[in-house]
Amino acid sequence: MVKMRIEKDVDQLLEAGVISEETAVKIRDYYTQKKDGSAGRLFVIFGILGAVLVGLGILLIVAHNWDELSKQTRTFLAFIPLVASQGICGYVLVRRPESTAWREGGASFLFLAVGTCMALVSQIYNILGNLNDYLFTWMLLCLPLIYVLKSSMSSLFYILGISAYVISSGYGGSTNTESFFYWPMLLAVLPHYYFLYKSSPKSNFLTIHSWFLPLSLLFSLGTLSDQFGYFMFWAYSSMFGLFFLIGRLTFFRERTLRNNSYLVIGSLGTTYILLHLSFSDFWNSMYGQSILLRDLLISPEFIVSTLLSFAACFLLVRLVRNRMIDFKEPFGFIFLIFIPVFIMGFWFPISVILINLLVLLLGIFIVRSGAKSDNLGQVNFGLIIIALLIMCRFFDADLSFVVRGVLFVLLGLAFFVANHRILKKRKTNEK
Amino acid sequence: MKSKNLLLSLFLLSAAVQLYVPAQMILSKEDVLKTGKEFRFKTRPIDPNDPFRGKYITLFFEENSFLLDRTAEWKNPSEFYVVVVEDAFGFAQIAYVTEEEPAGTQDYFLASTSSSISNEQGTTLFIDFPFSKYFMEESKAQEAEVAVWESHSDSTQSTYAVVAVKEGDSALKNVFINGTPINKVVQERMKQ
Repeated sequence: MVKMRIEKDVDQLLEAGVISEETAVKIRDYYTQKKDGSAGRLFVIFGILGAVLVGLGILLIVAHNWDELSKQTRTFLAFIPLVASQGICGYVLVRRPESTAWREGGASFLFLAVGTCMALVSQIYNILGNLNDYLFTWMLLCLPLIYVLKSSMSSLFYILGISAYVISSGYGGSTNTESFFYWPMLLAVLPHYYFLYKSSPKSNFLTIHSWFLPLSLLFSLGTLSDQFGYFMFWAYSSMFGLFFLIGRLTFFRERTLRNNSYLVIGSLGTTYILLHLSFSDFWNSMYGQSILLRDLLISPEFIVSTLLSFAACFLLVRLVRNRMIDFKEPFGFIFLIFIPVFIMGFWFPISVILINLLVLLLGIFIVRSGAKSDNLGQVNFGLIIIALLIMCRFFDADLSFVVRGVLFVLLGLAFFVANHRILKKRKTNEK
Repeated sequence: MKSKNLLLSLFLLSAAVQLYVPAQMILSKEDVLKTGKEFRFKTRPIDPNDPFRGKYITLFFEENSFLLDRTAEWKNPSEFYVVVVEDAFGFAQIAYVTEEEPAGTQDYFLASTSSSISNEQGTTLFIDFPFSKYFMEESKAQEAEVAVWESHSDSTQSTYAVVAVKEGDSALKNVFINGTPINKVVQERMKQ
């Protein structure tokens, strides 16, 4: 339909002499190529979707546990999806290695079939097992698919799997040494991420990986918490700073927010940490705690905090040198201010006040720079930070309802006035 | 061409490992089932769910704790060996638990503990059995739970699990209510 309309428009433009015959051919070629490209992409998407649905469907069917069948039959059936998907992947490697749809579809099917087969065998033989061992073995068995089949879907499944593994093994348990395996497993997927970055920088797969990886780190970093749990706030603050700075690198800086996961996670994460620590409870429990320096220096919390801070500092220096960041972007610097404020918290009760001040200044700063650059989103983000800070203080401040009410009215007015002024300014500029 | 062959060999290698791991799970269990000694563990099951493997019943064993006397040296290992013998009624009984692999018997399995209580007499270890899940067809698990509960309210009936045990490994063979496999009991009940 669209194609017909374009053809018609091109014909009319040609008749009216607006475009030459050559331009008309170029326009037609452009749309034909565009259509082919999108059809290819659709084929990849539906290929993957089909394979994933078939894989999950088989998983559900076998979960029914057909106990009228003999043990031998069930064992034989358990291996069918695995062998079939291995056959498909073998065929893809030999005959269709260049087809993304075949590679991704086959790899997705095999990935799920490996998990299904192991689950089935443990069902048939009533093997108790535990989720951690299951996920660990499954992910290790499927790691080669990422590289052998150059499959980004496998890599995404793998990141999901190892994240589930680290969350299930690292939190709440008495022994969390098991979750350390997550880190080398994560390292194993990074070459594929780099390969995507080099070979197809504009692909959706790269964008999705760029969301999955920092989110995986976000959930897994906390599993390093041991005796010195407080220090994880330092680690997280530096990690969010590092994420924000990665989001300001040349590769990401021109991208929309949707495609710049590092910037989004970095700024939202920093805001969350600051708001979380704006309550006095945390600082009260930390204040006056005696810590053995010898134990602290070799603790995973301290080591990871220092490493992340160094990495963030290194990137910050690089960006400042290349004039790619300035003081108008506070999220790139907050982690540096946070470190002394955090350490002071052990000896002085002033840290909580400093953090509140920091959040307030951050909000005001963002509103101001947003207003200057005529960026409505930024202004509202700054106002939301201030609003959240005020709401948080409502929890621990003994203010009367009247004062709270007045503050909310003022805040509402601020939202209204700021948005109104910017929109008015935009209209004037347009005129 | 060279890199294609390399990729293909790597793929074949990983496919072989993918087949080997579940096959090895089967072989080790088959060995215990065929050559291990069978024990009957008195039990009381309930019905939960497993997201990946469908429905199962959890077995709570009556003989689920062991008292370590105060003189015993116990380093709280994450896993230890449970040596079993048969009592006068033919049911499994824990002979002793040990951190070292026992010599002179094959009838032991590896287990862990979820909790322990210490008092004047010593420390009571509560044992997590490695064969506490019995997988059933999803429509039957609920019915199995009801059947087992009913058999428990009737003191003349007994529920037990048959488990093969051999040199640290164990494999759950079946669950019985009064000598009839639980699948059959449930089938009969569903027909009624």
